[in-house]
Amino acid sequence: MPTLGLITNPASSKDIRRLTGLARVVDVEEKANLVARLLAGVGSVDGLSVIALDDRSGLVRRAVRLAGSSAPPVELLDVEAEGTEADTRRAAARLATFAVEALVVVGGDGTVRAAAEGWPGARLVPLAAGTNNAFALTDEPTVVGLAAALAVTGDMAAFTPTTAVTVETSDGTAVAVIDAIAVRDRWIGSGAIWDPDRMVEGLVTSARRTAVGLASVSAAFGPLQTGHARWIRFGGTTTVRAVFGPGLVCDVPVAEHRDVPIGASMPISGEAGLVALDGERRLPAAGGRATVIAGPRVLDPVIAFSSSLGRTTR
Amino acid sequence: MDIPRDHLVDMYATMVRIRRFEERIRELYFADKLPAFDIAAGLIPGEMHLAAGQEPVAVGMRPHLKAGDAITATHRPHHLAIAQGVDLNAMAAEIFGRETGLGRGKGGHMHLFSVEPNFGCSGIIGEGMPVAVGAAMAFKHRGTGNIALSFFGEGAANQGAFHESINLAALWMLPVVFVCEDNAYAISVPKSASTAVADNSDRASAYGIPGVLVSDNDPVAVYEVMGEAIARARRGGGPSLVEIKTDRLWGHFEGDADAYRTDAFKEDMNDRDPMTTYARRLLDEGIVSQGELDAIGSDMAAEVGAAIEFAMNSPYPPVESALENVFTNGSVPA
Repeated sequence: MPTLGLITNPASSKDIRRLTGLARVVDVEEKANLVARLLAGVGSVDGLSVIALDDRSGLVRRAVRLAGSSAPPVELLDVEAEGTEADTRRAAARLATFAVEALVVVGGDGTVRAAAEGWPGARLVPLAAGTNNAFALTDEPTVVGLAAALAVTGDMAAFTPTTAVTVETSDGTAVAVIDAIAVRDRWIGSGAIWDPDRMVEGLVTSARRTAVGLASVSAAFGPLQTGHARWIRFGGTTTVRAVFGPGLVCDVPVAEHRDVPIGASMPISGEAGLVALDGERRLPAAGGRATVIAGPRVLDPVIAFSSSLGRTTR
Repeated sequence: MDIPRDHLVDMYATMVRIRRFEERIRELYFADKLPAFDIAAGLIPGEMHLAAGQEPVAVGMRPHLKAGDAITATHRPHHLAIAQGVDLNAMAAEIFGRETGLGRGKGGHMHLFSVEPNFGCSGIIGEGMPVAVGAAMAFKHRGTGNIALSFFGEGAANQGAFHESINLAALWMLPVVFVCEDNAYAISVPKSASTAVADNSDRASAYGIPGVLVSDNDPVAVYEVMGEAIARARRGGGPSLVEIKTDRLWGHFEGDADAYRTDAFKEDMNDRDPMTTYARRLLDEGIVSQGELDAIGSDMAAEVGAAIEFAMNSPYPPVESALENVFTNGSVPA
């Protein structure tokens, strides 16, 4: 029986950006409700089960209770949680051992990033419960659940390729699914970035004008070819007005940009103190190197529905 | 953000001052109380609740404070009082029950009150929250530009006072920051057994205010978040709720067998002791040298030593003064 994996992050959408912009808290109850709606969508397709690792908040348990008989069979595994992103990495790695068809990740961009690190080959169904949600699907969770279920019981081509960046530093190797940016800060602190003037340069893996964050800045310079990332050096007098975060419209100074293919590799700027991955300060920059790689495959609900038309019409 | 070196080093020095103080109090607390534990006996009468491990919560707010800002705290107050700059000698004397103490020796360790800086604490769970709201209301009416900070534990967040205080502060847009020190245990009760929500920062949206979760017991993370929350309050943006996951390295009280926390849990906490991790980071970043760290250690040990000596050399209040300063006009009702 095909199986979907499920991991959730109770801590997403609660960081300092609630104070530096207008981002709101997505609390545990809201996340449990999102998951319940997703499960209702999944449960409407026969022959599918879910295996979930419950997080420290128990929100998956709540969601299963809430979804009731509309949920598919859910096997729930308890985990030891530290309350850090390592929990997500470990959860993804553990679900990889169950060979689930796809991994539903409920959280923000940082959560998706950690899941992609924990299981590099996963097909992802990222459900938005974060601050910017530049990577995750922001459609109604019931729609996402139904689309995911149709895809894993039908046409896996609904999971489309993306581009990512791997960053190697003295502190180890990490992956970014949206952007890897060298920043002037020297302290990880609260993690988030809210000031574009702190950015030195970096790689952005997509160009989408309606996204929040650097994907929208990137889109100002035209579409991005599949299998490429856009290198941007910040600074100078040309600015791109973009939504840097919820409630935060910024004029982001861009000095230079060029598109680079998968395989392209470059050193991290010496001006930088840290590398921020998907909007969070993470690694020391000194001696680091960034490489464009093939990213995780991600569900495209439109493709999932169109390739399942025969199964959903009578 | 660029963090001034002064702030980074001062936060560390304050952490050392706090830890040395707590360690010294811990050493002296059991003097003359054993073999049969007599809580009233010895140098420090009464209970003792020490804050080793929770230093980042206190020092992170320190660089953002202004003269006149008010802080209310709990039965575990020392780190906050020290960070705010409460006179260490008078604080030690109060803990030792001496006449030179903040409350002339009558309040003790859980009832430390200072006018300048404006600090108060209480052993009643949740007591400080309405008091901080009152202070914030006064600041707003007087237009002083000051803010109030209310510190409480995750257990206190289930008290009625928590909900009433945040509701009123939100309604009246008062300049107060509510700071939840989540050390996972209310005495021996784990949060999962007492609280319906996983994160108290979730509760902020029930009152229409921002809630922020700080998952790391890291002074720089706390510094950044408290900086934003305090600035927001000062510019009239109203209250916010900051929840900080921190570690209570020792038992709830001195004498606590602490058997309700596993050895593995305690080992994990000690492995991530913020004193060690922050010092290492300051060295790695080239902010300080080992020599400077050692000098800070000696200086803080000397300061703490001097405060304890002051306390031990101070007289006890005379018995005749027992009812003095109990009523504001000085006289005892008939």
